[in-house]
Amino acid sequence: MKPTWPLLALTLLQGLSVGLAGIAAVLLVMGHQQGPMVFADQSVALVTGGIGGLSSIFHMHRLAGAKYVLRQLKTSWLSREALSTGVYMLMVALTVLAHLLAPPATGLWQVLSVLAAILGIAAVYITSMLYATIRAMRSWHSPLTVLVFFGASALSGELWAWAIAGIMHRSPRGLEGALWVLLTIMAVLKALQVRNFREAEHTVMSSTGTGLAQKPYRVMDTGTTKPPYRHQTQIWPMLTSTQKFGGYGAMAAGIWIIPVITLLTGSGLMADLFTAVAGSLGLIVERWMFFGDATHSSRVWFADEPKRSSQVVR
Amino acid sequence: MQLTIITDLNKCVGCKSCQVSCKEHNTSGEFGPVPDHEPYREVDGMWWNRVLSVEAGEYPEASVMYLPKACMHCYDAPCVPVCPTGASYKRADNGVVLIDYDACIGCQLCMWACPYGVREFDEHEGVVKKCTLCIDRIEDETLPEHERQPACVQSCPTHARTFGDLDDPASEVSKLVAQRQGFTLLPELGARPSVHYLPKRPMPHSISNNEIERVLEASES
Repeated sequence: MKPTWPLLALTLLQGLSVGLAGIAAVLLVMGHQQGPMVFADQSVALVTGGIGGLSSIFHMHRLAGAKYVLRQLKTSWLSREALSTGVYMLMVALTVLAHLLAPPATGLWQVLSVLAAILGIAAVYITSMLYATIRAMRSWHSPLTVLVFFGASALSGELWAWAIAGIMHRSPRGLEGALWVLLTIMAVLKALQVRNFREAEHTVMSSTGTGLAQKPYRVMDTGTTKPPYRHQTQIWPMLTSTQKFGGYGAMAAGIWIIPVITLLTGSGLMADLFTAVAGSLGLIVERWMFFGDATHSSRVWFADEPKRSSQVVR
Repeated sequence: MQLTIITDLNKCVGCKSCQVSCKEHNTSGEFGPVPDHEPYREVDGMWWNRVLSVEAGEYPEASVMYLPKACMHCYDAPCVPVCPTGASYKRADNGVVLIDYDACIGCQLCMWACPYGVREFDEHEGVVKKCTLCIDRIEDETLPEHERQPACVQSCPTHARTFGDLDDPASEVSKLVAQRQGFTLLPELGARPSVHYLPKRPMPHSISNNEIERVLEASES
């Protein structure tokens, strides 16, 4: 489908915010005495989550209907997303306020921090389920979508917590080890998801007979079925092999290759910042490809399908 | 009650009169539900009903089939539960799936959820639109009885399209589906579309004159 910037901003910044709030809660619970750093993490979580929430407004093309957005909590994951992200942001704001206003000894800050992290995890789960439950979007209809959303959230939070620790000249125990673990988990999940995307693309093809009782068939362009599908945003002109190679290559370079090289060879503030920026850019490309490379079941009725030769002939 | 349209793929000749009459009926200048801002330049504009040309086989053993594709008014329409505002809804009295433009926020989630790609986004009004089964015609009691049917059904010159209640076993549409083994598109996605198609019959065998003469000679001898 067509990637749009409000969706990229909402999902990425919500994930980053929850990742940072989660790491802040873990640091507090483990008693690492990193008060200023935890507070910095939570403040960045508040700002990024707020920007993400605001960008979702631009995803609505008719604001007059926005007052009805919580009407269908019983069935709609989008209604639930609006509610859960709002409640999470409220809790993060309260957490930051509690640190500023309440005496540290009361424990209120700690309790609110843990609550914010739990609500954040729920918000990411709900956002990812919005995509994973769409049966017609064959690439997304998988538990992997949920796992990759959690992986991206944890990794982006970890990368920025790493950078914030560098800026504040702190090195909390376990942060570097966690980064290595998350990079590995995310690599495995993303590899499986890209495999899923290729499987979906291969399954939804007119030449396999998908969509009709008779097969195989070819859809002829009659003038109303050609790209760029301005009125049908659920599909998009199929990415070329070069675009896919470039997209997934840039994603791999940003998320894994550059951060791993920097972690192995460099140290200091600049290296930490470089790792966070490269990783974040990689995650932006990852999310862009998540939307841009997705296959919708209605693709079989549009005439941009390339002619394919046998994939198994020798 | 589940109102629906059945299309006989043997009778459809791909003239696109259903596609054009849909646009004609639902476009009333700038204020009609189907936008038509640049009708002479915008062939990829909004169409609630699109006739696909489907080609199979290789010359000389080739065939062409035409497939009119609009909203399937599914029993379990996936576009309905995903809508956060309740703008997409399915009427209990006649099974027609409709959109309340006043409640739609234009998030387009219903377009992703629809397996058939028959919902279209109106970027000028910021809302999603689709086939209404000409609800304004079928409920208009000022029209004569025979005109209370969708514009695409009424305009079909070959009577390939039949309109009726699929839940009524005695209706013409139910009988056609039962007798002619009507099929739906993408049944594996579980939306249970009400719109059915009657499959093309196999092409008749072609028998050469030589073959006929050979059989006649054999029967005579």
